[in-house]
This record gives sequence, structure tokens and C-alpha cells, in this order.
Amino acid sequence: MESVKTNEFLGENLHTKQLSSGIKCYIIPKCGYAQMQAAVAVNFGSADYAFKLGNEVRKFPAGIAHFMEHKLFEGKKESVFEQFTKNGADVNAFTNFTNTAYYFSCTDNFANNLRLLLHFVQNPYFTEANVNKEKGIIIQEINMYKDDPLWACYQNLLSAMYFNSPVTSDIAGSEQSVNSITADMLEDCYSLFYNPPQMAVICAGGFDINEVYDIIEKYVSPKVDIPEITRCYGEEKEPRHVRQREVTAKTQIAAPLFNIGFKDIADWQNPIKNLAAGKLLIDLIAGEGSNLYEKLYAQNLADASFYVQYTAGTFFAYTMLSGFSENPHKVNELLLNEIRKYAQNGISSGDFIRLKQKHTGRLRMVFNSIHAITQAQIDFFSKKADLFDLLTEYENLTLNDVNEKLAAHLVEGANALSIVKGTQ
Amino acid sequence: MELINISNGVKLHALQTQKFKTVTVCLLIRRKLTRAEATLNALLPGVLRRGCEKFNTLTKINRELEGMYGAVFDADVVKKGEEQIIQFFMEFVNAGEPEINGTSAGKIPADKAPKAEYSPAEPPQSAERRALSFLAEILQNPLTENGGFRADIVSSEAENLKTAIEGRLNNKAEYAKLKCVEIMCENEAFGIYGDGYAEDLPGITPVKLFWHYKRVLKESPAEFIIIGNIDTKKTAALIKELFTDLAERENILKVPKTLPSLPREQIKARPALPAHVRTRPPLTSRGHIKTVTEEFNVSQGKICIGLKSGMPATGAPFYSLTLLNEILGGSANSRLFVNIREKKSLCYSIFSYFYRFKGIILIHCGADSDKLEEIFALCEKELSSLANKKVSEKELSFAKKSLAKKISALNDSPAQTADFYLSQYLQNDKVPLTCFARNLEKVTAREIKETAAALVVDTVYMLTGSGYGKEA
Repeated sequence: MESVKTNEFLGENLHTKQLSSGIKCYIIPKCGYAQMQAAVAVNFGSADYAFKLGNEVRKFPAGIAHFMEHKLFEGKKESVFEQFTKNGADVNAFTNFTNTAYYFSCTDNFANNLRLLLHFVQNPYFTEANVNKEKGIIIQEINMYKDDPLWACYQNLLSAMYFNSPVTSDIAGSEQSVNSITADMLEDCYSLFYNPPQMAVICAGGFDINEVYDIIEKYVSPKVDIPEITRCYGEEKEPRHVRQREVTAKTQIAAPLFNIGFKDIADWQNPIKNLAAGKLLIDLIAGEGSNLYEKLYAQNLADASFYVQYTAGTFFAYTMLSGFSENPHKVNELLLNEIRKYAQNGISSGDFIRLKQKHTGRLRMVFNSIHAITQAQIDFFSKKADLFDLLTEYENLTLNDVNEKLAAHLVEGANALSIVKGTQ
Repeated sequence: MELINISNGVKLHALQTQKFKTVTVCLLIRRKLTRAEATLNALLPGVLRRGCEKFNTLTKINRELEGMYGAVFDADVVKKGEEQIIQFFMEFVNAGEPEINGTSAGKIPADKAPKAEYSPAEPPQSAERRALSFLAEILQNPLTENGGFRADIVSSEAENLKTAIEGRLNNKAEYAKLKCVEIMCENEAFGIYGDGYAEDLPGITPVKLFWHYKRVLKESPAEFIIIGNIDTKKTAALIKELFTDLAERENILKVPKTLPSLPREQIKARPALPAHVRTRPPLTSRGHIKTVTEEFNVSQGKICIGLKSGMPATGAPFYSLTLLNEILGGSANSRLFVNIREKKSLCYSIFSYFYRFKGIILIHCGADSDKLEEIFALCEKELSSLANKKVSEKELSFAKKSLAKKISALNDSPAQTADFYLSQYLQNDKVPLTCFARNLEKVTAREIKETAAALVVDTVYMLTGSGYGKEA
């Protein structure tokens, strides 16, 4: 059954339908745009390298989901890139902790490109030779990130916050884990995770919606004997406190870079409400309109690179603040003071209303871009939700919800500081 | 895009469209890119962004924006050819838009319309007026003291700019491209950094910067590019009413059109390079290539190859260079990507970039430091293959299709539309976007071959790990 959501504030419709194979479709029609985009999202990310199959514990080398993403682009006769280029389309993909997504964008031939997308994602071609060939490329990708101080700072923060979460492993794995991956492993992993009930097709643009459903129905066939997988992220064993309060690394960098993180618990009942509260909360305390932001700027402790965010996956969540500063410890201290003040006095309703307006407005801005819509919905798919749900949660959010979030989340002991500073 | 003259040196380029949820405003204050002025201009946006008379703290500024459904505001400098543009950017939700062809740009119910929470005494105003008033305040009424900008703001922003300049190396790929351009165009304005120089900062006082700002306001051409659901005539009137400092100006500075980069033979004196930079013997026997290697403590090396065509930024050469770049390294189906990444597994990232105004193409690749020489040889091989053998009709048509798609998708983004239009305007190129794909369609395989043959490898910049890059 198709369900259609309409939202007057967003000025958009969202069509969702689960097809006979179990694959879920999310379609956001956009008139007047030249671009059309479609994505296949698979609920298989870098964190899924260890899991339980029935009663058996299975473990693959770290980075296998990302390796798979690279390898699905290998066509038997011609590369997937070439096939899309012929159709005048761009194709790309990404892997994060929870998802792998493959997507194209085009300005015509949407139906053909959609068939192509569904075909290549469902027809892997792994040989020992082409798997080995990919290793050099992926190791260069890993090396590229190693030289990025922002990435290093973030990785170090995750490792400081979590005891045993798979988010502490690099998405691409390590040189060693990548080298140990074989064609058989990829084959094995593919058949375990690339199954229609674990997948979604997300489309945005101007096209015939029924034709899209027909194509997906026809090209995604139901699978029998889908294995029963239990994901093991260890979130139930993850303590409230962080593993390490502070971590410092040295590299070639001019001004010290910091990430401050607050680890959140992951057993929320309504993940989208939690997301709305988390995003609003940190923006209120340390975002651009906050007193703290003014203070940091006035004391030369922050510049335009400073930002705050709340991120929630299916099994992890955290608040993060990031920026360049000569004195990250002072930033940390001022932040903790500010949090204590808010915890004591509560949040003012004026601030709350203003921030609510900001976040709903920013969500509306997402709908300016076909690409932004598709990418955002990929993320919501793994949360078993959609973009419209976030708006609803923003609208329903009360001051009390945010105060409760503050008391439960931004607590002493749940925070860690990661610094990357210069070698000089 | 409609062009409206507001006053001497002030133009409004307006695109009325109901496609977007927002109205996008770019205010561009144009300066000639010079070494003497680069840092002054680069420092200005940071200082202006810190406050104005009406919104005299960051909190007030940001709360005003948040209260407008999270309007986006930014100010920075953009290097566009040999112009240094001080850019103010705003994007705001336009309340109460009408329904259009079955879809709706989105309505804000009356009870949810943005309210000015922090100035309740003021009468209600449209989102557009509120946004443009904000921008006019920021531009025209900065925070001053003792005949200059507020000293604490200037020193704090100078510190921030210094961090940003020294932080260029944080992104190694971007750094390599910047260095390559700097070396390649060392005697041209294009070789000047758009974000300025740390060594200039101590000499900039609040008074000096303020006088520079006054001069900039008095003599610089200003362009408003506005895209969204607006009434262009009303918008023009609003600009006239609010931006009084830009009205009735005489003697507007003429910013010359950027010309293509000169071949190296024509460049004379070359300044000495800093000590940690070593010039090395050429990678090949072609003695005119300038090669610079810098060593850092990195896992991956970078190579950036600068190519000059000497060709203009408009007309047939432009279309042919655009296509050549697409075929060479513009996509995941390009020669460089397929032959060096996919077939040889030497790298992850390899692309080429076309700098239209200067007729320059840069190839950038990240790989093991000891493989950079090999990468260079392979790039040369691809270049000479393009210069010696016509590309197949199939390859040419794929590249044309791919570009046609990118061009028609430009209209889907207000920021990209504004940027494209600005490039056309600065080059005095009257060809509308709708004719681009058709002009590209006309380019032949022979023209691609001739264009490739005209490309000269000018500069090779390499960033290597310690101990690599030893002289051969």
C-alpha cells in the first residue's frame, strides 16, 4: 500500500511504499527541476563487520562494507561508470557506519538509469584479480584520510568516547584489514546483507511515480531464505561514561584543532524526537546565537570554523563541538560551565521558540536541492523514518523535552576532548 | 536573468523564479586582485561580520537570522580570475509564497510567520525587506571607534585570518593546487592568494583598514545577484532605498577583464623561492617545466601538474577546453581516472580542473610519494595521446552528454546559477546558459586534438613525505 504524506510548511509530498520483495520506496516528487536522483540504500555499514547469524558469531575484516561499495562498480564487460556516462548520468556511492548507498543523478533517461542502478547493485562480480586490484586504490584512500587532521581529530574523539563500539574502527578499515579481504568474503557478506527487506530506493525529481514503482517491482526480485542476522554493536554494554577524558595527537597543523564530544545513550523510544531534541539543545547552548559563542569569540577562543552538531545513528549518538583554538581546554571549561548554568536555571522559552523556528526553516531549505533531499532521506531510512517525521518532531517538541534531554545527556563523565596540535 | 541599473556602479541581476523555497542574495564588491590590497580585502568580511550599529554583537546578529527561520548569512572573499570579490551571501525563507503548477514553494501559515522577536517595537516587515535591511546595516554601519574599526574586533579577526592562512595545509589536496597556481602564475595577479598573507597582518591598523573600507565602498563596482520569488522592480527600489552608501557615486573603479595566463617563455624575472622549497631538475628533458617539491610529514604524496593553453575564456576555445578537461580528468569515466586509478591502482583521487578565466588546466593526484614520478609520466602519456590521436566519436559524445547534464542541472541551484551568471558577466560573454550545450555539441574531435596539442606543461608541484623527492 502506498502512503502519501503532505506538508504545507514544507510544500512537498512524500510517497512511501513497500513492494513485494520487501524493498521500501521513498519518493519525493519535485516539479520544475532538471535534475532527478535515485539512490539504493542498503542497511549495511562499516559497523556490521561482526554479527550473529543464528547462534553463530561471524566476523569479517573491518572495512568490508566499504570494500563492497567499491567492488560493485566492477561490471563484467564495462565499468558501471561507463554505463551511466552513456546515459548521461553521474553515479557515486558512500559508506557510513550504518549504510551503504549507491546513487545517480541525471536530467533525462531516468527510467533507464534506474534500471541500471538496480541491476548493478544486484549483480556483483567479484574475482580474486579484481578484488586484489582494488586494494591499492582503497589503501590510497585510507592514506588520504590519515593526512587529514580533521578526520584524525574526529576518529580520536570516537575512540576516546567509546569502549567497544564499532564506530571506533575506520569506515575503510586499515591497510592490514583491507589486504586480508577476499572475493569469497565479499560473496558471503553480499548474500547476507544485500537483501530487499534491508534495502530502500529513494528518488527525488520530476518523473512518473507509478512507472518508478513498476520498474522497482520488476527489477528487484524477492529472495527466499533470507538469513536471520542479529547485529552486534555492543551498545547495551556501552557504559555511560567515556573511555578516556582527553586525547591529544600531534601533526603538521598551524593552530590546535579540537573536538569535544558528549556520548549519548542509544536506547531512546522515539529516535526522531531524540534527534530533534539533541539538535536543538546543543545549538541553544553553544550555537551561533548563544551567549557562549559570543564569549568564545570575544576571548579569541573560536573563529568561523567553530560548529556544533548532534548526530544519532541506530546504535550510537553524540553531541560534538569542533573548531580551531589556541586553548581547547579553556573552550572545554567554558562549555562545561555554561552547561551547568543551563542545568540549574533551565532553558528560556524565548530561546527555545527561536531555535525551533531556525531548525524548521533549515529543514525546509533541504527541499531546495534534489541531492540534499535524497542524501537526507538515505540517513532517515536506517532510522525507519522519513524527513517529514523530523519536522513533526520539531513542531511537537516542548521546552520540557529539551530540558529533559539536557539533564539526561549533557552530564559530567559523558564528555571527552580530542586535540590535534602542531609538531612545532 | 534581468539586469537593472540601480545607480552608477551598482547593478541588480535578478532572476524571478518560484522554484526555490528561499531567496538567495549575493552582494559582490569587486576589487582588482593586487598584492598590496589582498590582505586588506581579505580581512574586511571578517570584521564586518562581527557586528554593526543595530546588531552590535554576534548574538544579536545570529538571533536576528535565527528568527528569520534560520536565514543563512556569510561574508568572505572570492578570487574570480584576477578579481578579488568581497562577497556577502544571504539565503532566507520568503514567507507566503503562492502555489505553482501542482507543487508548492511552501506556505508559512500566518501564525508561524517569522516575527522580529528582538525588536517588537518595529512594524511588521516583509522577509525580503528584513533581510536586505540586515545586509545594508552590516555593510554600511560597522562598529567603529577613534576613527577606525573597533580595535578588539580587528585584532581578533586578524588572528582568525592568520589561522586560516596558516591552515591551508590542513587540506593537502587544496594546498597542492594553491601552490601550483602560485608558482605557475608567479608574475601574474592570478598567482596572488585571495585570502591574503599572514605577513601583512601586523601592519594593518584599525584606522588603516577603516580607510580602506571607506575607499572600497566609494569606488568599487557592486553587483547584486538575487534569485527567488521576488518582484524585481520592488527589489530594485528596496536596494536603492537601503544601500544609500552606494548611491550617487562618481569615479567608479574599472576592474579589467582577466586575460589568459601567459606561456612561461614570456615571463621574465622570477623571485627567489623560500628556503624550504627546493627547485629540482625537470622531470623530463623538457627544460621549461618548473618543478617544485616540498617535504612534509605525510602518509600520501600529492602531485599537481599545471597546464597552460593561452586560450581565451570565451568562444570556440572555451568550449573545446571545457570538453578536453572533461575527457582528460573531469569525471570517473575520464582518461586519467580509468587508466591511472582503475587500471593501475596507483591512486584513489585523480582529477583535472579547468580554470576558465586563465585558460589553465590543473591535474591533481594523491599517491605514494615514490610513485609521483610515475604518475607524472602516465599523465604526460595521456596528454600526448590526446594531442596526437583524435578521440573517438563515442568518447566525445559521452563527454558532451555528461557536460550537457551538468549545465542543465546548474539551474537547480541558486548558488551555482549565480556563479555561472557572474562568470559570464565578468567575461562579457553574452551566451545564455541555454545555448551552452548546443555550442559544446559543435566541438569536433579535431578541435579537441588541436586544443590538447596547444597545452603546455608549465609547472609540476609535488608534496612528498620526508625523505622522498631527493634529487635524482
